[in-house]
Amino acid sequence: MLFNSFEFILLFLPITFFVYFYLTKKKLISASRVWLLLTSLFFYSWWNVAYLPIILCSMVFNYLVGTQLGDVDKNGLNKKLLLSFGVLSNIALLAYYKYADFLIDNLNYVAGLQVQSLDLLLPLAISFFTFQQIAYLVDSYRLKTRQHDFLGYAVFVSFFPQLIAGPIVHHSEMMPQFSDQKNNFVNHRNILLGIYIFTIGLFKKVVVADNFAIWANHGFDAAQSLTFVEAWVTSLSYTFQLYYDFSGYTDMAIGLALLFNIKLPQNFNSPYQSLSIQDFWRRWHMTLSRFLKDYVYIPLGGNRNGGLRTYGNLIATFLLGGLWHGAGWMFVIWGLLHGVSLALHRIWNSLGFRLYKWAAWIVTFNFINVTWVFFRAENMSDANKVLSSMFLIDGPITFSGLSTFGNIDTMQFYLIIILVLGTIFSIPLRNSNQLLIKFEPTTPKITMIVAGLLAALLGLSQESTFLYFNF
Amino acid sequence: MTSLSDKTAIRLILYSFVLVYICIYLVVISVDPYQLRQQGSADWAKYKYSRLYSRFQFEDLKYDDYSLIFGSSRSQKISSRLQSDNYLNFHNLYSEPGDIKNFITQLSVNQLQNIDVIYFELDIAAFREEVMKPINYNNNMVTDIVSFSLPLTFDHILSVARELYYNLLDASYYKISRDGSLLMSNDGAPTFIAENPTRRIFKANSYSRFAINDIAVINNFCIENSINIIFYTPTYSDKAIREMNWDVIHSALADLVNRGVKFKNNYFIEGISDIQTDSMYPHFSDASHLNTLAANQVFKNYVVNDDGLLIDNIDKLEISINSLKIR
Repeated sequence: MLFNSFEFILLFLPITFFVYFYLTKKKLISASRVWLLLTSLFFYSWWNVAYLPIILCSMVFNYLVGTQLGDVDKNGLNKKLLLSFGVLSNIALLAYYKYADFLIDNLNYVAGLQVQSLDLLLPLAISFFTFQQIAYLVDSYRLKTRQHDFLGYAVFVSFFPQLIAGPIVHHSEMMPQFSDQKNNFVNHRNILLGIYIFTIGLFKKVVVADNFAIWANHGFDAAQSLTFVEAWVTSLSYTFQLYYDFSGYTDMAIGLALLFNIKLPQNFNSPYQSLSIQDFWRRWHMTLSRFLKDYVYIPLGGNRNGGLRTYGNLIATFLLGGLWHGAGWMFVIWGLLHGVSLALHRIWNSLGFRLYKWAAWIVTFNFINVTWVFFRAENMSDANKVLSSMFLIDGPITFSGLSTFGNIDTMQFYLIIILVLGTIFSIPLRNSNQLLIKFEPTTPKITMIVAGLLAALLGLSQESTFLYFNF
Repeated sequence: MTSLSDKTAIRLILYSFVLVYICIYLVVISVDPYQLRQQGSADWAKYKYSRLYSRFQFEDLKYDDYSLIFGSSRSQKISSRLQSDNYLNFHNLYSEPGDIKNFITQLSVNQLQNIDVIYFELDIAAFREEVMKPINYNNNMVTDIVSFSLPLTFDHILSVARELYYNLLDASYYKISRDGSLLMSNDGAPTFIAENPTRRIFKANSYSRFAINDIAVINNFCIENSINIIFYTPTYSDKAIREMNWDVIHSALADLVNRGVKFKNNYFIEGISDIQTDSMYPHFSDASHLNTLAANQVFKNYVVNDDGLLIDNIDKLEISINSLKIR
């Protein structure tokens, strides 16, 4: 079930919400938790019920291991072994479903073998719930988690607003909220803010991202024949599509959680305003950055062992980050580019160089735009072709309009409007989180919410999945 | 600006949203009760193809005798008025033999007895692969009308706005008559001879095996129920004939003939397909659509009467298709 679907908005959400608060009002707190767990699992199973046993087994396993790790009486050596076992088991699960075929293909290619692919379907959200539970195990080992019953833990992992594509949350920031008695009551402020930010997210997805997607998909499908203008339109369209799609999803997740009095962490903070690549990673998919920093970069040694080691750690962390997004060399290249650029940025800073703000923004934005081409392209040849056209390596600028886009060339005018609006909204304006903080329910704002909801719902003629559902 | 209380704001959002949605819905359903414009495009051409309209024709068939015409846009201009007979034109079930099968198999004994003849156009290039949700003709019609336009979409609203514009200014060339056929305000006059004759040539690069199977089922159903069914092909201009993929059409028709389907081959009609004036085809509105007058004339002479070339075996099919390939 998608957030941007009628069955979710008109049936699943109202039923889940009203029954949940009916149960809490009757002081049936455990029943309300069971209800939330069941509805979340139903939400998850909507795509494919075959995935359900995987997430259930994963939850039971991690809960048992986490409980043992949180036991202060256990001695250090056993706990270390148990942690290693727990983390490796999670990685093995992820590796089996996500990377087995990738490994087999590469092994076949390198060693000339003919090992049959497993052709496994990637269980939905496995990357997200696995990372979330690895964090839980490490936090338990560090005694940063308090013990909770299995029901509480299962709700923490499966809570439907953040289950499919994050934000990646910590046990320590969620469990106190689920246990807080105050959160068992309907909170009108939270509901209002939830509706507000959910509407922003739905609008971003349906009205903005899905329109950019038309151009991005057409462009990448015809990557080998793009002209200069088309290549730029294609790459910029994808850059904005990805941002509006994922940040739209995150806004919806934050809004939905607020309806249940749960505050999810911020995941985006105007990333395209960044003035450096380091700045970008503090603003883009912030909960993934936090995870990589806390559970990969710092354990690798962080910046504690001198320059060269720090650069190596950065590159290794981002290679892993790239691979997390998908089992493919294009993701590895994308991660490598970001890791190397972060290392170069450190060197640049250490030498005391500075750029004007506008120049720093242009360099950063264009670097990000270029690296998204690797992220999106099917293969290296497509990425090379798009980039060659963008940077005139294939020849001088040709003014043949947007002929590659075929039948949709009559929409050139709309494209320009969308691109301009996209740029305006994502770069200089306040982001949805800033709008949320300053929100006051005045009549013009209420009118905007109603108009936004109508526009988004009327645009729901075709459901489209979120890009991050694939990762 | 004064802030509202949170509770009031929530109520205001929900009530105004529901109210505005209902208002838009009421306008849409008032302007377009049969969902003629529901299929997702502001393009005028789409409004001809609402499957829901067949609900009304299903009702008509309970009370009077009719001949039924099933076909694509190449049959939509055939009307009771110009044929001087009782017809129901089902171009709304456009290109979906599965829909037509669904329709006739739900007819009651009385309705089956009210069918004089079924005329079934074999527009191979237009048959689609996808199967749409079948209509239940015994459902309550009001429920269908209400539910078919939900959820509202931008495209539908834009189409309805255009419909209003056409009706208020009487600006449309196109209207649908009660029998389901398409009427043009310049009915009968070949106004569109100057229209780009290369438009709307579907070359038939593949054909739907589901469609062929459904046609064979329909044919057998008619035989079992003693209903006279006449299959016929559309008529093309010479220009379209030269561009069609005859190998694909040949395969599809051979498949049908092998399953016992006989049909009248009207692809080329001398004096219609080959007449040109100033590089235009005066009997066509574009290269593969006859204009209203010619469509009714060809239907009367070559489908209803016996002038059409009947194909009932593979040899005849081979000869007739070969003659088209060399034009």
